[in-house]
Amino acid sequence: MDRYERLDLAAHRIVFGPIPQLSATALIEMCEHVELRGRGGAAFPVGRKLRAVVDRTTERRRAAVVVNGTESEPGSAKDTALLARSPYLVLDGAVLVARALQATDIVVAVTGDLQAESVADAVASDAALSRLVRVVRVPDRFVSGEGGALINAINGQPALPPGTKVLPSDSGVRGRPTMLSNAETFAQLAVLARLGPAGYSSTGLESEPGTVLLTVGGSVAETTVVETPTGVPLGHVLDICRAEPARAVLVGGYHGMWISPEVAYDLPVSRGGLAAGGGTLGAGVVLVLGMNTCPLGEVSRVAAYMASQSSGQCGPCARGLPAVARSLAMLAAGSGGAHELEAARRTAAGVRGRGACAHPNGTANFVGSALDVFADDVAEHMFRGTCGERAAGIMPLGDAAADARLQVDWARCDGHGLCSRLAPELIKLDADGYPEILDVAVPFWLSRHAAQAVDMCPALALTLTKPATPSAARPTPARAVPLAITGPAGPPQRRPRQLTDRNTADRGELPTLTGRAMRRADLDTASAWLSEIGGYRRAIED
Amino acid sequence: MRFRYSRSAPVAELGQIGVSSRKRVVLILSVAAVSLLLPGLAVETASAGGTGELSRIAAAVAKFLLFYSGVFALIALSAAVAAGLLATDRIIMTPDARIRAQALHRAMSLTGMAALANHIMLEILASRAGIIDSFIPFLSARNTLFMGLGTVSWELFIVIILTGVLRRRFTGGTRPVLWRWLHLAAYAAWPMAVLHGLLAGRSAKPYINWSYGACLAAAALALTARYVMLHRGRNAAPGGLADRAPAPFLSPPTLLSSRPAALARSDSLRPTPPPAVAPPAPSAAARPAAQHVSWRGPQGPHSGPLRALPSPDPDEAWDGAWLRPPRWAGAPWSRPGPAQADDQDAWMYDQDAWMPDPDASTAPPAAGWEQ
Repeated sequence: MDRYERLDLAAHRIVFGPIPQLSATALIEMCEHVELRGRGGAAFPVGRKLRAVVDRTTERRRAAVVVNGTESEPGSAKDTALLARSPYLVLDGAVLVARALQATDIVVAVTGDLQAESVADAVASDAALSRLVRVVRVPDRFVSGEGGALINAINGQPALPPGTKVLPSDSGVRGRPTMLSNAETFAQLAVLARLGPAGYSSTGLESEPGTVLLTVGGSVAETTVVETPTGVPLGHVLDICRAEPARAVLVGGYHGMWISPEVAYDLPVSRGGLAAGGGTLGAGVVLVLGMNTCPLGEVSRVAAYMASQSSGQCGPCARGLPAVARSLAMLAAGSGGAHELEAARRTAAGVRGRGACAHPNGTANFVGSALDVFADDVAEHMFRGTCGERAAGIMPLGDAAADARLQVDWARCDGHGLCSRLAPELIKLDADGYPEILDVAVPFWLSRHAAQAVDMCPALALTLTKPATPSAARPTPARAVPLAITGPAGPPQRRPRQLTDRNTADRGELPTLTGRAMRRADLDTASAWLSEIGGYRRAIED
Repeated sequence: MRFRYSRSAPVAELGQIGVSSRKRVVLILSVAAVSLLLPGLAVETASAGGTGELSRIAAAVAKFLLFYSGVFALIALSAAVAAGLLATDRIIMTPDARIRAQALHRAMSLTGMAALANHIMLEILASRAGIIDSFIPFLSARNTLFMGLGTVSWELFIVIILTGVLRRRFTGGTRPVLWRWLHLAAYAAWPMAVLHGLLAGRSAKPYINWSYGACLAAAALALTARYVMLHRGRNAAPGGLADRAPAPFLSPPTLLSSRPAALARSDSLRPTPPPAVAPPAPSAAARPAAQHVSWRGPQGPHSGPLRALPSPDPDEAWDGAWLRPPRWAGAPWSRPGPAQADDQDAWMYDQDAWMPDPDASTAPPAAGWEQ
């Protein structure tokens, strides 16, 4: 598929062939046989989800299917890659499920123009599809990709998670039982249905057969989406993506965990394997943190971003995450001692499990593991004030310039302290009574408080900076999501893109999403190239 | 094959989170509409000449508003001035109270303006003032001066209220100064309004006159206090920094020890030999073992009292005197010990020298208790 920027319908039919029609029972059995799990991060068994929807479907309440392509995690690009470059595979999976469940509706939810237009284009090219499928764009915010928030958005309400957990299989699109899953899950279902359980299990681990899509970013040559069979060591994937020598690896995205490179490089890419190493597969986001940046500074930036991405509905999350971010910012700046370290840990632990969605839990995991893995760096910041590096902004944070920020005119500020009472989440006073402002874009749920603080500042020293107009440049699918791995600059034109296990190396069947056979020769080419350049893992040891 | 974007395909935009920023504008407009429509309606109904209950009520309302709306306007605007002055105070007001005072200031300003609009509308309808009089001052045939003052203050209040509503736009750059001057016009407009209120219409009772006089005096006093505090404040106003007398500079040595700098200097130049008889450490013996605070102490590494390094006197050449161990109250400068004599940095490794002696200054000598 790396030869095409986008697979159109004709190319898709050639590569994948027609889609079989399955009954619900057959589909569920198939899923349970290969233990297919949701690929959105929660890893809920697909078979069980399908069964729940089937159980609740009646003649009068027909099921609906929702494809969650809202990739709100800034580090993730796999669903964008699928929807922008191979939309028919995802739609095949959705149609397969819709037929099996006798669903009357398929909703594809996306956040970006790129995905929306790709899917809309794909739908429009097929009359049968355009009767069945609706494309919905939701706001690009971290928690708008949560299942409940997405259902709310599709039902015409604000894209916020419901206060108490509502399963989509109980009440989804217009109150009907709904099969909601990640875009990659549907693509996997389409591949599984074509190959059957045996063909699908021919690659990957016995316990978790098949492949996974990883998004490898951070200190790598280029953010890359990789399809890899389960069980391949993470280090191999990172080497192929030309990762720099790592200080730590973040697996599972911003709701995931940091792992030190000594552990991470040997972990097999699978849910079980990463969990054994103290990580999580999550939505398949792998971010490498290189040596030329301040780890604590990066963590503090991400924590501030996560705090601003809360939807502000649940008190512990709305108050706790800004407090964590503030403590981390003070630690990173060198002005926080053991007290702030303890406060960050305690507050992060305190928000766990106390919100409508998984946002506080995930952020607590992220912060907690960061403080463990970067303990040396934290100590250096505490006692020396700095580690000597600047936070280079390796961790992607979405479009940060698009929102308003609070700014203090320090020559005017007289330490009246009214602002900290009006917007305590964003502004705290230091020991001398002057404001310390959390360096984040003002989230929508704090914009009223922030505006009030600006209005009431007695010295007129507080300003809300105007959001910059987003640039109009539109990336092409390939520019936005490089799917192929750029190999050596030299002769080998056919570049290795996928890894595979030995037992599938010479099979004719393609148990893959990206649709190109991976032969043993490709792996050999990759290995040869790696040994030629010395391999990045060995570069660390040097 | 290139991927072409299709514009025809429908994509629904859903789940947007609306943030209403127009609430305030709607509130202000509706208050203005009500304050202008209500008297007009009342006068219309009353002058329609009906004999029913409705026209009686309308006439009563019109009469009441004609009599009192000016009074209400003056009272509300006076309260607004008072609340605004109070909101700037830092001596008796906490930040929370100042926020409430600002809210009161805004509410009272809005109320006052509504009553003022009402007042002007009714005066025109009652033919006691012309439409032109309400915009161009000093044209009135009757009571020219005090009617004109009313017009001027009303126009000033409009400017003040409008810039107050748009206050957010005045942050940043040099615009705050402009806003301040515009807002200070209130102190011109309000006394004019008081004079208009007391002298343009019916003659007021003496206690009313006295009350407004007291209000003006109190405001003048508060303004004076505010001016004084402004110049004693932290940064004062922009540009005020230069006007202030330099604050006495509290240098760390004055905080740390009363030992004269010269004495400390002589110590360092001439390393004191260890005394033959070790001076009795005042605390080492008396301090119970449990109170011994380790380096990383139970409260964490930085939890002890802050130890500011005595900085060198800038006028003197640096002589390294401040590198000596800090002199905690009562502790001798040079400690006996083999390391100190030959190693200048030995104090850095000496735990006791780093840590404050918790009971050296506060606890009475153990001997005193025994007696």
